Amino acid sequence: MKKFLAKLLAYGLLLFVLGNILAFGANYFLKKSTFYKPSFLVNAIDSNKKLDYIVLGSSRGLTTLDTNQIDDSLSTKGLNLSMDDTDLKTHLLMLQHFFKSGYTADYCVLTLDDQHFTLSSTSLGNNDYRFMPFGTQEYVHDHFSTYEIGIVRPLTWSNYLPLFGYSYYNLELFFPSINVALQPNKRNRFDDKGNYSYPNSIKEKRSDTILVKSEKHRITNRMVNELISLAQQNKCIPIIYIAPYQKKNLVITSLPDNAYLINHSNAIKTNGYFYDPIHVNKAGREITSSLFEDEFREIRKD
Amino acid sequence: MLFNSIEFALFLPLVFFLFWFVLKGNRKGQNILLLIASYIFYGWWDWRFLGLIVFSSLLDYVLGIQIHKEQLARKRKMYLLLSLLVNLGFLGFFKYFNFFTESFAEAFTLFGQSFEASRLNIILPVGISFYTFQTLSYTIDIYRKQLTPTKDALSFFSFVSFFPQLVAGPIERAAHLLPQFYVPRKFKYSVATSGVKLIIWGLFKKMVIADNAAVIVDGVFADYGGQSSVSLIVGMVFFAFQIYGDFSGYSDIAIGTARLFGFDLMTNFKFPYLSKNVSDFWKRWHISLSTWFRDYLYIPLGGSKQGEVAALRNIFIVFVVSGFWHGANWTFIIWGVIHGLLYVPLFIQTKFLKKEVSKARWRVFLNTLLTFTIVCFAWVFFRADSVNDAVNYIANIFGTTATGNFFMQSKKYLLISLIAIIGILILLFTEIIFERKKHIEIQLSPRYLVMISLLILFFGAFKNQASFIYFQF
Repeated sequence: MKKFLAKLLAYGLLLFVLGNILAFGANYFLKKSTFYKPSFLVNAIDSNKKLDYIVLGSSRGLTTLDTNQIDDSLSTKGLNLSMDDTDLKTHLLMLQHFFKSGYTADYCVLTLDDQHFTLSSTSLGNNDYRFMPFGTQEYVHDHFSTYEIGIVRPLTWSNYLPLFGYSYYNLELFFPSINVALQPNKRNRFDDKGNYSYPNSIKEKRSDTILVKSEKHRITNRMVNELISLAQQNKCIPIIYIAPYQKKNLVITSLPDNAYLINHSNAIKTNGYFYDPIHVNKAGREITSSLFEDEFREIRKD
Repeated sequence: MLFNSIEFALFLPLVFFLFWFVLKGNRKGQNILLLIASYIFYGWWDWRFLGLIVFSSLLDYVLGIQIHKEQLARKRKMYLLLSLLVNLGFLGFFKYFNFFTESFAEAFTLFGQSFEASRLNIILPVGISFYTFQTLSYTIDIYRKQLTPTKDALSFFSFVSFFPQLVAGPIERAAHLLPQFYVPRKFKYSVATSGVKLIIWGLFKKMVIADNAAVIVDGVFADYGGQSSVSLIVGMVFFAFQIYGDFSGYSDIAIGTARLFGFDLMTNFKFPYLSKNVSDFWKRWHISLSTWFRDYLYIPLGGSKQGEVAALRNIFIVFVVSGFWHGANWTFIIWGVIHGLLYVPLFIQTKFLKKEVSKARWRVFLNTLLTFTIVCFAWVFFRADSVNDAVNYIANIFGTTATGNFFMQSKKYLLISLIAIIGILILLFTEIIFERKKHIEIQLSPRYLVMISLLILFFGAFKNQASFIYFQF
């Protein structure tokens, strides 16, 4: 029995060490890359140059505002830090990451989805693993330990032992790390200013008439207040931005103090500019970005 | 509790520790521990069905003694029939009730009559087909006077519910497994290490091959009408390896786990995709089930002793029943029929014509490839939702104009396909080596063991882990 347990322990330790060596290597390459937004921010953007604005949000933030177009028009310097399939707690983590990494911006455009007006889910976001290379940072570790639930907590445990995270999220982290070891400048579906657009092709034939449903909403989510507060603490003016919906007109009746509101929920009235009911396509993005420019210009004059 | 779950990773060392350290030398205590552990293991899914196992164990324990005690043939038969009736009754109710009522209603519509079959919302108890067959073999063997019933109720209950093989086999015979509960256990280093190696090999097959292939298979079968021929072939071949990795992986983990407690379970798979014909395939695939059907169905039907025609009929019955055992769907029955049809000519060739199969290397290779191809096509019926879907799937392989390629739909799916292919190549490479050495079990060298373990860690589907396919049977 002793021999068996000794061998089991020896092999276990060997695997643990080898696994962690591989995971540390993977973590090194991913952290030095521009593949996911958190690493892209740190490695591709000069922290000495102040940004005029950043865009936070989910896929609607990622695909609606084209910071290249806005910057060309307003002579500004902006960056889109939105990540698909995320919600407010990930936006908050991204904002923390932005400030803690030594960056500043005059405005923070928070693209808010209607399902986040009042509540946020209490479980870890689907794409939060993208912050894992920065897992040793207190704010990232706190985020993981707060929202990761269950017996297995690979991201929380990856604080010092990345094997757990790189094993559990092998498709999402380990394999991309091999990719970026060979191509360090590769980005995961976004351009050099953090933007991505959906193609113009329309999935299905739709009639030109859009039946729009008006809905009244109040923005009371406490996480929105946390985001606003964090932005203000860092001398960054918050702007709540509501991107177009194909069939909704969201009327905001109440919103937190100290934040501007740009509500474009019903700004696009042609089906051809939508990729799906909640995302504009490339042509729609051009129009929406242009509309945003007009309002943003006015806000900056204030 | 899944073998590839964190719960089991905590459960197994705990039971191992209690078994060998706290209850060392205490056979009865160890059996009690195994019984409690097995009930916890099973109850983890649904504790309500524990009553079924307890009842089935109690019934067969009592009936076994009665059959043995009884001198009157008529009464002995009656006890056996009671065992068959109750065990198969439970199986029939939970597994086949809806199938029979719906098929009955459909059959009536063919004759112009129609009535609505009331469908019950029945949950299938996990592993019911496995433990039912295991307990049935006990009473049948006693009836045949091939086995003496046990008076050790604890051992019998532990035998029926032995957690490593409770929910998906191997389906053990009482004559082989039950006596192992009577004897004092001594820890054997070689047995335990071979057990750990089998567990790791099983996890590799399940987590690297089966669970990754499952993602592609599910995508292709869900939209087979929109897939290109290449994509359909990929889906079909991946399913062949998914089901093999899944089921044989489970068997390996079960056998390995049992060895950690000093128990020996029967081999369930012997590199089936290296079979040279369908007959050979059935000597290597799910051996515990095929031998069960041989001993408890084929031979009672007369086997090959009543002439050629009767032998062929019996074989065919065994394959149909075997297909039906898998599930209450015509797809499984057709799958059984296909194998039966493919088996019959080989049976005639070897049994009656006494024709030897060529051993030339190129011929063996071609035969292996052909057998694998045939088995793959038959798997389409096993996997498809309906017979119609299966037929259309196969027809589309040979003549579709669709251009969809699910496995290349995104970089993620391409990566998953690549991982599955790497896993499959490693599996085949390893099996070919051990087949040439005439081994029936993979014995991993230390270096290979480390490599396989690292592959599980970094290629395994931890996030998208799937349940074992055979749990549903």
